[in-house]
Amino acid sequence: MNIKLAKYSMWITALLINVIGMSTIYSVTRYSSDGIRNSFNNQMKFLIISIVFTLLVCRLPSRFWKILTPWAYMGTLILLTAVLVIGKEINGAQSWIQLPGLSIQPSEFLKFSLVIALAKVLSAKYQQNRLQDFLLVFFVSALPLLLILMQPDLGTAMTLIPMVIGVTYLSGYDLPHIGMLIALGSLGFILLIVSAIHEWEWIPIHTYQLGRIIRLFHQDELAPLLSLGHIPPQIIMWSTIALSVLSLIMASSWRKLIWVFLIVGHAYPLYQWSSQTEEHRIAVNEHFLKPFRAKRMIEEPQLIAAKYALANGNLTGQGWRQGEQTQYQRLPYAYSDLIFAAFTEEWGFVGALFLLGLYTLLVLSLIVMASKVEDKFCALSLSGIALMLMGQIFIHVGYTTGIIPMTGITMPFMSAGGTALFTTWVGIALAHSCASHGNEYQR
Amino acid sequence: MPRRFINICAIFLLIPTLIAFRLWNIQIKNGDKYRNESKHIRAHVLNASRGSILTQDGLTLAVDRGVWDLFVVFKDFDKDPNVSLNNLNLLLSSISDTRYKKDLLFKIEHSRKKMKKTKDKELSLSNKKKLSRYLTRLIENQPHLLFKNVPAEIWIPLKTRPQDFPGFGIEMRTRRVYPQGQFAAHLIGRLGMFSHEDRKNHPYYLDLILRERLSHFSIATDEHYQSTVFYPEDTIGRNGLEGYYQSKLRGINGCLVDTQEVVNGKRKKRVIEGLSVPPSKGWDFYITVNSTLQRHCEKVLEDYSAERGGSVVIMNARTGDVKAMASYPSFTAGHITNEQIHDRIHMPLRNKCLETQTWPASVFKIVTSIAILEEGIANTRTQVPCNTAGYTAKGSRTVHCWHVNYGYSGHGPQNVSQAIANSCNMYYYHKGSQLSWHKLNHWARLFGFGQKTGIDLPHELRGQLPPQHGPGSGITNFCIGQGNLQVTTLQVATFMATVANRGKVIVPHLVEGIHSKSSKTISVSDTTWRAIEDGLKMTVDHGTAKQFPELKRHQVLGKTGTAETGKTKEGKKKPAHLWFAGYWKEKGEVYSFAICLLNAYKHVKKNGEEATSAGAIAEILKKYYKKPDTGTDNPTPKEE
Repeated sequence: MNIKLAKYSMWITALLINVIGMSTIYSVTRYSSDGIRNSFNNQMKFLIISIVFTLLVCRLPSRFWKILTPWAYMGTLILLTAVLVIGKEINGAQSWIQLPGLSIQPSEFLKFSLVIALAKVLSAKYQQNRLQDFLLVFFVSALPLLLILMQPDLGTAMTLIPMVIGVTYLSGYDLPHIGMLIALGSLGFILLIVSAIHEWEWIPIHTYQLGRIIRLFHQDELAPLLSLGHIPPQIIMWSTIALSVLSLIMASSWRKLIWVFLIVGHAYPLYQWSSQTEEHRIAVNEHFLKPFRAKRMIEEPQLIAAKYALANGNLTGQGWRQGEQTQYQRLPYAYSDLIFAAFTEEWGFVGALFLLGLYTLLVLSLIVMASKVEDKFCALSLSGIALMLMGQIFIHVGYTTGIIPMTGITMPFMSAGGTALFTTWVGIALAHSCASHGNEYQR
Repeated sequence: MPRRFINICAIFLLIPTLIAFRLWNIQIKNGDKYRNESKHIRAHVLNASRGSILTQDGLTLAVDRGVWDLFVVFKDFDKDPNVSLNNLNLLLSSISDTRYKKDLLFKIEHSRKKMKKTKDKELSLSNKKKLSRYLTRLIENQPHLLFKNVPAEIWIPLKTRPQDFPGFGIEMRTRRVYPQGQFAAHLIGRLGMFSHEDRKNHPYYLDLILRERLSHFSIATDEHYQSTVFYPEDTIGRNGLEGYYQSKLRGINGCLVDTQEVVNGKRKKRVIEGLSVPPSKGWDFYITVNSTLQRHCEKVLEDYSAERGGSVVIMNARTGDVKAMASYPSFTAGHITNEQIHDRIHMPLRNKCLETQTWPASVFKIVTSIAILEEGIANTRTQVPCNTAGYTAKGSRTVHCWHVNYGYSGHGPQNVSQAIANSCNMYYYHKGSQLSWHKLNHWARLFGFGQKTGIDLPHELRGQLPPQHGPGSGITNFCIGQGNLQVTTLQVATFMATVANRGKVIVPHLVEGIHSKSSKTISVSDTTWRAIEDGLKMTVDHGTAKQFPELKRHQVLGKTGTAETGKTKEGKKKPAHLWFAGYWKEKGEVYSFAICLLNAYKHVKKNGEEATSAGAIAEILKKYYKKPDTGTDNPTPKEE
């Protein structure tokens, strides 16, 4: 596959997915109240604006994006702090700024800004695999992530973390440094869970978000593929904390030991736990999970609705505009957070596979372009966008099918969200310009 | 391609495979099970009970009570009628009310005839010789009401051991009960059925289904809708507190979501816990009314009022808590007759404290006095002679003080305090006419006349200030509180509270804490306040309210008023309204009051005495502060 073919497939898949998304949103919002039906019109508006803007901007040389990077990054940081102060709170997360006529979501801008910021930092000439370079990468990505976590918007943070890890991996860092990054990320995650359990106030994660994680383990006989059965998170939590601290202390000199510790550290308590008696396991589980035994907390309502919608799809789906759950308004947020379920209900297993294939083609074409481009900034930004997209897709479809705890992520190009759509199209413009000009000699 | 890119591509191919496997699991391998569940998913609305209204000293004014009805279901009953009948008869024999035992058999047979009629009707509509099994089951499973509101001796056994009474069922209804009868009926308000006009202001279930095309399921499971939507046959609060706090009293309905699933070949119902929400009861409201004081006020009003009734408001001047609000004639809460609705003479359903406005008469002279003193037209020592000469405005006829009109010689030279005490018109004719309409209007507005007080009861009238030109707009009439000037009793009581606070404006309320607090203070000089207070004190000492020792005992400061009401069609003068408004201090608290007896001038009470507004207040205070003989819980009386 050469770059030209990859570029074509990128544009075609992006447009196709967009059309599919619009048709799904249309079908879902046909019979709902005016406020929701507005989102379809809104989406149309934003689509036209985004495509026009993308077509205008995609011919610019990659130098333009390099110059834009610090401004975009700074601007996003400012917007993220602004949204904490003057933002509008919807569904428990203060993530929107209301301007007259439209509302923007700064965390979506971050998806684009962080990609080019990381690409710029990692492609700078002074990068030499030292600790301070690594720390620079860490702080450049941690600062906006922290601001997002303050909103609190766990879902967007979850999509950015694999992107950060993937981009640093592709830029050629030593694996132990990548491992440290992962360990630090998991340390942060564990810290969030612990703060939710003990209800510390200065970390704004809500107990309901922890409940979602717990409820993931309570789905009926169909245990999710990544589920860990009856293991209480406490054991994993303490082991990971210990390992992360350990790996931080043991810096550059004993890098290989980190891997050993990580693996052994996770496997050992797992082995220990599984060799305990059933009674003991259940007893510990009960103690930890008692606060979540409230009737409301056992089943996840959106997960149930999504499951019904998926099952209704069967092999070939129920047909466009004829899905039961969507037409009778039984699927909440069918136009944004659960749009994959709505789509699958109408087009079935076959349709879902087709959509996933389109997305995979899009992402793979981006990676192919990244591998064939010489300029490091262009390569990294291309792969950053690819990782970003794949992260979103995996998490969205993951929580729709019950593999991952429930959050609210937009499906790229499909979900109803003006800012998200615009940002993704700008990402396409960036990809196109990087692919076209990435092989030129840059000063 | 570099190695790392290949690794990433591998991950990118692994993820969709994982997802595809999971999707296959849900959609195809176990798809039937989930599809089955989703088809039979149903949301039943669980009605929330309405919040109660109580007083702060523990009386329950309005509450939801559960009421039990007895039903019979023939499908189960006919399997073995004798067993359940015997058991039920045994139960009913132990009850003193023999009505149940007598009518039981008759009612069962009556319901059976009704069921047979339904069956015959269905049969005549269809072509078959026999009804389908489904239809028969449906008709036989229909519950038939036997007795409403059965006592506890019946419903408790039926609820605890239903297996002893096959075929009989017991269902609970909620009914709004007002245990206090006529007490504070106007404050409580009433519940009415949700009507066509209300559909414009509130979301209605059928509108949502038909116009917004929402499904019953999405309405029942959405918390926002369940706290605002009205179902058919719902009640909505109309007047009083039931109406004002309707949205908080109604609570949030819950939903029970269940689905059917096939387990071992049998169909079983299963409740989906995750989607079901229990209903939350509405808020309970505790009102600041003092029940003993309220009772005394209602009794005294009944005694002193003439045919058109009267109203009294007593409130805590510092905080704005309403301690008593009574309006006569009253009605029994929860039982409103057609007669009462159409009675235009007594108007028992109107809360006359705020839904009726009338002339304030001499009570308004306090506003005029403040205006006169503050605008510099007179000072506290300026005297105006009140004599038989009267007052002649430019181009008008001569008017005299009421003292002269009633045959007396006039009050003599009066300063402002004496004018208040004696309610002398002449002072206000002379000095008040030097006020411009703008200034008096400004001061009246400042003190809250012509605007709503902001109390938490609906349908409050704003009152009326006379226009600058036109009929009834003369400044002479304005000064003394006649003409086109209209006020409510509540406005007068609030005004008196402002006077008691020396200018701090309060917002009267029945429920503490919810209401907005006012922080306005009207700036009036201290000398003016002192002069007004002197005048109010002298009214009770030797002025127009001097004949009541009770008022002197509690050091009440007040102002009387007699509002002329015009003439009847035949030319006879209608009796005047009697006002008395003021305040008194008790143990660090200041209470302001206002009473208005409509058309009660020279009304004779049952015991032969003449009714006066100051006398009514004296009576209320006497009853409230009476030392109890047995020494039980009464508020401590004032020290001598």
